Amino acid sequence: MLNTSTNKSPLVSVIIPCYNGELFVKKSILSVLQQTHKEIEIIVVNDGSKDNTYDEINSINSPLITLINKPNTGVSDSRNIGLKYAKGQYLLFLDADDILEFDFLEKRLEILENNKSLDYCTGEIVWIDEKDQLIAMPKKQFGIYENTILNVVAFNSLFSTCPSAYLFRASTVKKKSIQFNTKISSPADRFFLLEFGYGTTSGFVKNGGKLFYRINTQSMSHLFSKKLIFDQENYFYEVLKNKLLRPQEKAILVKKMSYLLFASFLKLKMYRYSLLYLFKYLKSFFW
Amino acid sequence: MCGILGYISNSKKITEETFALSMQTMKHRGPDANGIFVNQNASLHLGHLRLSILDLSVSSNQPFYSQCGRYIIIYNGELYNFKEIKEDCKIQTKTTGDTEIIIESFAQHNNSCFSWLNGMFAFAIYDIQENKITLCRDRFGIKPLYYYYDGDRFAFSSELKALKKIEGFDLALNKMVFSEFLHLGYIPFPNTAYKNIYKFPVGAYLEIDLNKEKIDVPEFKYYWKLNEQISRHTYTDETEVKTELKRLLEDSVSKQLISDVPIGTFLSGGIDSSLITAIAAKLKNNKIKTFSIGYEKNQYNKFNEAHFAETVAKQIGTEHYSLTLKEEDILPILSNIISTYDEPYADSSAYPTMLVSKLAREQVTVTLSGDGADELFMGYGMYNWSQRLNNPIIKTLSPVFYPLTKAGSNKIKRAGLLLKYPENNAHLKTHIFSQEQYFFSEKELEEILVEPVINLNSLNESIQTNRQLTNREKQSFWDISNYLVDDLLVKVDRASMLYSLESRVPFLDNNLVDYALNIDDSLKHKHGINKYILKEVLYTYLPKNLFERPKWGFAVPISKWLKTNLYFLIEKYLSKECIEKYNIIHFKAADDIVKRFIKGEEYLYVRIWVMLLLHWWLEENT
Repeated sequence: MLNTSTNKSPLVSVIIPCYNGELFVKKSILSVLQQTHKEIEIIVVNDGSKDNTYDEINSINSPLITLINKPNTGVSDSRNIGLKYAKGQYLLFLDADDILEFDFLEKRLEILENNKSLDYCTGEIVWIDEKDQLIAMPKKQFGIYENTILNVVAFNSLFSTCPSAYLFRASTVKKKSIQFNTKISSPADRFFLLEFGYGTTSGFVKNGGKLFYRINTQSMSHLFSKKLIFDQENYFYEVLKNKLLRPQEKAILVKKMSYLLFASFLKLKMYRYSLLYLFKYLKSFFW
Repeated sequence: MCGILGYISNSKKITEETFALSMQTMKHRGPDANGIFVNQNASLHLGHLRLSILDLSVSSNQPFYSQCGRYIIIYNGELYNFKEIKEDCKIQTKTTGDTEIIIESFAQHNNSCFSWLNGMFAFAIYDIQENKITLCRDRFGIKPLYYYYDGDRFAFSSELKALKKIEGFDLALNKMVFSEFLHLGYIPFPNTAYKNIYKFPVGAYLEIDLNKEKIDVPEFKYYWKLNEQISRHTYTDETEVKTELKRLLEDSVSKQLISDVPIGTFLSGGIDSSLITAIAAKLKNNKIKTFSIGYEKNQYNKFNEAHFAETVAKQIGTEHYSLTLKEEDILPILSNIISTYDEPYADSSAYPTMLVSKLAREQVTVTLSGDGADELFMGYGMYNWSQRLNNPIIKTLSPVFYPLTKAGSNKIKRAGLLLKYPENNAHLKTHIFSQEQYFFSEKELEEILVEPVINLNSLNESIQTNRQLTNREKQSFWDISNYLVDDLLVKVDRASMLYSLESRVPFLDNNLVDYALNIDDSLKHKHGINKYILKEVLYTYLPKNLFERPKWGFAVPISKWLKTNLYFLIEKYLSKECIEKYNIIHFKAADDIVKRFIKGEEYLYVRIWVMLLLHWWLEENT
C-alpha cells in the first residue's frame, strides 16, 4: 500500500489566500495539483469572498485540498491563518491568480534538498494576462536571490517580491517566527522578506520552474488610490518601527520611500504630507 | 441576554448545590432557563441563566455543545453579524441562534475568530479534549465579566454578587481603590472593591489549562486594542464623512434590530437617542416603541425632560411611553445603587436608567440606547477643557488665576478647581474628568484621606498611536477606554438587567467605532459645536429646530435631596462614628465639606454623595 519512493520526498504546503477570486483560483489550484512533485497539501483560505470562489474551489475533487472559510480580514491575516494549518517542510504562499509551471516545485526542491543551508529558493517570473497569454516584458524578471534586503528596499526592478515566486524552508520561518504583518496588505510581501532578514540565503532556478504572474487590470497593486498609498506609508513605518534594517539599508529605504510618498501625496493633492515627505527626502541626502 | 458563572479548581472542589446557589443570585439576568455543566473530575463548573432573545426554542439552551462534541460554551451576549459569519465560514447550523455560530467559529478557527465578532459578549468555551478553558470579552465591555483568582481557584461571573456568594472565597477588601473611587465615582479596571476579584479586560481573552494542579496567574491576550485602530490619517472631508457615517449608523441599527422578541428604544429627546430612534423607525416598517421619563415641573425643575422626548417621538411617529416622576418615586429604589452594583458606584443617573428600564420591560424585551456617542463624537464640555488646560499660557498663569477664583461665585469656584493642576501634570486626564464630574481632586484627596496613597499613573498612561492626537482626542479616547467601560456601560447593563431587559448600544458597532475614531477632530467639534458631525447626520432625519436647546441629561436632583429627603443619609453614613469605624477619611475634613455645602456651596454635593455612598456600601458589605 505504501509508496516507498515518495516517502522521502518532502511535503510542500501551498497556502493560497483568496478574496473574490472566482476567475482564476481554479486554474491556480490545478497548476499546483499538476506539479511533477506530488507530495503537496493545498490550503486555500477563502477570505470572505462574495463571489463564486467557494463553489469554484469545491468543484475540484482532491483530498489534498483543505478549504478554510472565514470572514474578510485581508490577505496578510489569511496567509497567517493558512500558515497555522501548514504541516509541510516547505512553504509556498501562492496568490490566487498566479500559475505555476509544471516543474516549479521540483526544480526548487532539487536545490533546497541538496543544500540544507539555503533558506528559500526562487526563479524566473513571466507575466500573463487575464486570458493566460504571455505579456511582452521590458526585461526579464526574477525572485530576489541575492542581497535580499538591499534589493527589497531599493525597489530593484529586476526583481519581484511577489510571494508566489518563493519556496520557503518551513523551519526557518518557524525559527524566526515570521508572520505576515496584518497592518499592511499590498506591501506585506516585501515586509515578509525583510523579516526573513539578514543572514538568510537563497537558491535560484536557472531553467524552468517559472511563475506565471498575472497582471490584471483589477489587481490591487495596479490601482492608484489613497488606500494604496496609506498602505505603502504603513509599510514604511512598520519597517522602521520593527527595526528590521541596518543603517545602510535603512538610509536607502528612507530615501526611496520618502520620494515615493512625496510624489504620491502630491498626486493625491494632500500637500501637507507631500511636503513632509519632500522634506524627509531632501534630508536623506545629508544623512 | 444572560448570566454566566464558572468555577475552576483542582484542589478545592465545590458541590453542584453550592454552585447552583450562587447562580441564583443572578436570576434576574436569565429568568427563562438555566443549565449547569460539570466536567468529569468536577474541577470545572459552568452555569448559565438564559433570557431568550434569539431562537426561543430549548435547542438553544446552554451550556451548548459544538457539533463535533469537543467544545462546550456558556455565553452572555448578542452577536449582530452572526448571519455573515455563518455565510463566510460556511457553517451548517442546527439552531437559528448566535450561540452556535460562536462555538462553531471557535471549533474551526480557535482564537482567530474573536476579532470577527461584532456585538456584545462575554463567554467561556471549554475544550473537553484538551481540558482547557478560554474566556473572552467584547471590545468595550458592554457585557460584564468579573473573575476571582487566588492561585488554587479561578471563578468568573457576569456579576460580582455571584462570586461573593461562593463559599470559602477570600473577600478581603481592597482599601487602596477607595481613593480612586472618591476621585472618579467608580472603581477603575482592573480592580474591584475586593482584593481577589478583578474586572476582566476588554478586547481580551484568557486561556486556562485545567491539567495543572495550580492555576497559572492570568495572562491576557488582546484581540483588539483601541490604540491600534487609530490610523495615521483622519477623515477630513465633511460631505464624505457625513455620508459614510450615516451609512454605518443605518447598518449598525439595522443589525441590532434583529430579534425574535419585541424591541424598542430609550428616547430622552437628546441628540444620540433621537438619532438612533429616527433610524430604527425608518428601518422598521411597524411602529417602534419608545420610552422616556422625566420629573414633574416644580420650583427646582424648570423643564420636564419628558416633554422633549414627546416632541421628538411625535415627529418620528413612534408609539411613545413616558413616565413622569415625582421625586419621591426614587426613594423606594434608593438602596438599589448599593445592591445592584455590588461595589461602590456613584453614578446617580443609574436611578432614572433603572426606572426607564422597568417601564420599557412592560412592553418590550430589548431596547436600543444612545450610549457611546458622547465619547466617540465629543459631546462633553470637558474635551474643550482638555484643550484649554494644555494651553501653555493657561498652564503658566494658573497659579495666579486660581487664588482669585476662590472669592468668586460657585461657578467660578468650580472653574477654579479645574485650574488647580495636579502637581504631576501627567495626571491631567483624570484631573479633568474628576473636576468635570465634581468629584474630589487629587489635591483634595491628599487632605481628606487618612492614608493619602492614590495611584493614578497607570490610569493616565499615554497610548501609543500612529498619529499625534489632539488634546481633545486624548481626553475622549481616555473616556472610551475608562469612563465608558467602567461606569456608563456598567450602569446600563446592571440597571436594565435588573428588570430582565436587554439593552443594546448601536454606537459601539465595530465598524462604526473603527471609523469614528479616525474622523478628524475638526469635524467632531466645529464652530464651537460639540458632536458637530453627528448632529449634521441627525438633521437629515429630523428638523434642526427640535434640538436647539442646551444639552440635558437624565439628571437627578441629588443636591436638593441631600438637603431634604436624603439628609438622613448624611447623618447616618457621614457621622463621626461611621467614618471613624472605617478610618478611610478624616471626619473633620468630611464634616467641613458638609457644612460648606449646607451653607450654599452647591457644587460640593457630588463629593458628599460619593463619600456617603462609600460608607453606606461598607456598612452593607462588611
